[in-house]
Amino acid sequence: MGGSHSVFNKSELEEYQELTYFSKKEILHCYKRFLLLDPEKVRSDKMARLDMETILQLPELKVNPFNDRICRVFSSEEDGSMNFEDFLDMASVFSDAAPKSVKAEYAFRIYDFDEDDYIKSSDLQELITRLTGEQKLKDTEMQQLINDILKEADLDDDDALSFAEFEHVISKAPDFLNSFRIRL
Amino acid sequence: MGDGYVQSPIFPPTAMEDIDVEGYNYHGNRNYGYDESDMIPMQSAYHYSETEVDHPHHNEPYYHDDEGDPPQRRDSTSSSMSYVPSDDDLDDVKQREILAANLDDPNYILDLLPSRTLGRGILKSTGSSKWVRGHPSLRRRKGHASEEGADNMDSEQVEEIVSKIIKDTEKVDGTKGAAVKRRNTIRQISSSIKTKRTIRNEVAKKAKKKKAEKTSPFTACWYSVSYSLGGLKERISDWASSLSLWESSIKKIEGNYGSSVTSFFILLRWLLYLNIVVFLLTFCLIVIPELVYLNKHGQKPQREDFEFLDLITGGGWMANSSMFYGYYTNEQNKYNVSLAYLLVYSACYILILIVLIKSISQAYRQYFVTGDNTHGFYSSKVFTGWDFGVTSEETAKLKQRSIYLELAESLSLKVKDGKRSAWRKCGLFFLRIFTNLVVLAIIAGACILIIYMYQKNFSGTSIEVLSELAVPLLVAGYNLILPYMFTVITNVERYKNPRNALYMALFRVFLMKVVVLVTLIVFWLQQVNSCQGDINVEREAACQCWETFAGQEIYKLVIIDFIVQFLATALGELFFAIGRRFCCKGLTPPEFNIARNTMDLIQAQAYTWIGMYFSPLLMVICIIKVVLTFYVKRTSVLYNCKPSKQAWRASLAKTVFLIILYIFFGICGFSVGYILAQLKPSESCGPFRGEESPFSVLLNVVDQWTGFIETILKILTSPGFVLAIIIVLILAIYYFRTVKKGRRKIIKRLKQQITLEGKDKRFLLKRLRDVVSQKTVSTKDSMRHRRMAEQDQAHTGGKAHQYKKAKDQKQRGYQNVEVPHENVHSSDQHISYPGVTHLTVGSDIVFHSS
Repeated sequence: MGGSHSVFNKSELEEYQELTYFSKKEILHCYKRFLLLDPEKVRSDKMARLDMETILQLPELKVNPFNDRICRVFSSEEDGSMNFEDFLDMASVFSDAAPKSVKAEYAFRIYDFDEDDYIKSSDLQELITRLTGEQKLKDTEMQQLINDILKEADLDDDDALSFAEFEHVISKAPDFLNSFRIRL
Repeated sequence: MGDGYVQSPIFPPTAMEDIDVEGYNYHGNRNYGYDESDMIPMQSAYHYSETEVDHPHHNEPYYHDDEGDPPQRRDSTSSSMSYVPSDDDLDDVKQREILAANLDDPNYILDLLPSRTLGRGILKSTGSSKWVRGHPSLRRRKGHASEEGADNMDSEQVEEIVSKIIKDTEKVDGTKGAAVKRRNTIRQISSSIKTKRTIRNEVAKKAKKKKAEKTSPFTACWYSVSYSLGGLKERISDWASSLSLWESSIKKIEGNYGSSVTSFFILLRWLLYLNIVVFLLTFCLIVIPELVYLNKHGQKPQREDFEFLDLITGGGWMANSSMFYGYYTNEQNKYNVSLAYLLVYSACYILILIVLIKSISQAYRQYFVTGDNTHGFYSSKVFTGWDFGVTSEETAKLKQRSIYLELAESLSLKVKDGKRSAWRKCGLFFLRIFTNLVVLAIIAGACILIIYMYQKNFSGTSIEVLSELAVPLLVAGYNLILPYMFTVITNVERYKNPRNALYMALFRVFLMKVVVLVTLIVFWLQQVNSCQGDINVEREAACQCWETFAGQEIYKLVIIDFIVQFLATALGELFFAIGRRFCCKGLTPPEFNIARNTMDLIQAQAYTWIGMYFSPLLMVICIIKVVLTFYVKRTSVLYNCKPSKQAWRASLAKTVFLIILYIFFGICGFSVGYILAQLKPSESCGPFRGEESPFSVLLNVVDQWTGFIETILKILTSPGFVLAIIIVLILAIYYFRTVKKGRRKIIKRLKQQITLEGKDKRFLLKRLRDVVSQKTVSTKDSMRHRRMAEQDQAHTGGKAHQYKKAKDQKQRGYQNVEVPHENVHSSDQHISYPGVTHLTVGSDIVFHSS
């Protein structure tokens, strides 16, 4: 870890510890990972803002089909760029310790591609397309799938999932905590 | 006359009847007879303030002054508020004006709906549920964002949240517990760290003030105690997080092979922790005291010469070492070894039981209770299908492919379901009966072979190493070969769902292992009884100290199992690598077989659990074995396996494996319990020599106690007391069952209600849209009317006429009120909205246009 101890003083670390789900060691580890993305820039200013392309170099995000969404959701500038605090925020939400409710909320935002606070069928289509990658479902299959999902999850029949409905689905999906997790 | 307003009351059904023209639109302060407390928060935001209602002009008809444009949406900082909660002060007129102005845009109204506002995470603070759900989101909304740039939310929202937290005195009463609660609340706010920091500082400032207000000496003392306790807890968790072993390896495996393969390694690590705890307990409380005692008294048993082979068989010099039961003495002067042996082992088994039950109930809750598998298959597949931990491109592609296959398969399955003909079904049925019989025969044969080998050993005169190791080798061989046979058999059976086939194969392996384990245990325990009758020479070793004999057998099993596994993995992979390099390059690497590896791990653990009673130091071997297994398997996975295509759900796998582990533990625990309570220990060795049963050691001690404790113990062990406890437990079960049933019913009702509410909402929104679009039209109309009115005025020059005309128009509007579901033809800006009377919650929506 070398120099990273001196980067943050004790009170800063304690503050981060209080605001995230991390221990001090993990915070420093996050910083190390952040530093590696662009050592020069971050070393000169630890709160430097890295743009989305740089952030996406992180192997944990590189292959993720939702990586641009993750960046946008966690970016405090909303353009996908991140400073260390945004990065820490992201790592904290994806950590083991973060509770389901917090994770569910961020998952909702990530999957809400058009950011209208509803997961509509267009969002679902985008989501499925990204999930299946190179293989494409047939149009009829896609439609069938979207209908099935809405039938399962859309409690109030408005053809869109609100956060409450999404949270309900997530609460019944046992794998969510296992899958919505990034070990940094 | 600068302002015009349009009022659209949503009447409660009763208020609808006695409406009159005058009271309808021109008397803004008319009481519509609804209770404000019934209103949902959103609606109260729309509620006009008293000042506005008491507008001096509101009794007079007046026209809209603007030039026919639809009202402008005002973008201002406070419009980024999502909605105002009901319990907040609603006096802020300006805010509501803005809200009202924005109501002209149906899309904006949509954004105001409580179901659209995120950020409820903040409200679920741990412990206190006083918080109302549905809090303004801290998320900056697209389109309604404040223009303050870097700041993620405006100060009003911060203040609001801070005051919420402050209001909840539990979180600010100065104790560390409150501080932790407060911190959890702030942590759960879904916004950037910067915002959270602001909130935290504000809260801390206010909390300090509050704390200063009330502190008696007692509470101050309590604060400091709980503060330091909380600090200690934090430090321990900090320390524990730095302890977590193999984190980087596990991360690497997860990144490359997904979370299901990782679950094997996590289970392995978990077992290691458990074993270490048990080892420390037994080592400190049994082994060390015994060694100290023997050193003092110089009663060292004579040592035989060291032989390497004994390391594997556990015979020779090792048989009399501290490794096995027979070494321990019944020293009772300074430290009661026998009692310690009994109590420590009981404690260990109970500890393991508690840990197991706790993790099983956790996993079970996670899987079976919250996730009922029939409901939400597709949505959970889609929303939780992606493994965010994946870091390798190849795995990511595979993952996408497997998701695609699973989705496409289940979609097509739905269409083709039930296509199998009756004839084929019948054939399949008999085929499966046959295969199941074959499986049972294989398992039975395996057990008979084990018993045969043992008996041959005893009757045969040659005590070669190989014959001594025959049974362990046999068991290890079963573990290597039988799973493959079962997989082949299961493939013959043609299961429609590959997952069913997987679980069927898993179940058969499980059955085989359980039966083998039970056979072995029964055989070992029989040694006790068979010894008492005829003592023949061959069995002398077993009869002298049958506990040591059992310990040796288990020791051999553990060692041989490990060697065979290690060799099989290493050789198999070596041959494979050679084969791929030199002959056939198309050879694809095998997948990491989670089921088989986990079953092997669980079986080894079961031998450890049963063996640790006979051999206190067996734990050391097991710990070493687990650690080595981790490295062997890690290497094997990372360098020689390809990611699994099989659809393993990590959570389900975890639950299933924990349950299997629990069953194995049950068998072991039951056997050891039986040994402790019923079986006569060996006469000439071990800590319980000369006793009727190990348990009687405890009884002897209890007998020495007098008075009160003895009575209590007698009461506790009396049948009446046990019966009472059982009855209480049964009653509790009954009670919880009833509660569960009731809850189910409530859930069903609530679901229906949600559907209805959703329909209501859609209906309202549609109507609202109609109204707004009409309003846009009608403002243009009003232009025309106004021009006409001006002309009228020019002609007749009377204000009275204007009033009458307005009233006429009003009446026309009112008629529409009486005929719901028809198009509203309101020709001026006074728009009534009849359809909404269906709403159950009364409210009036006031459109305010500037």
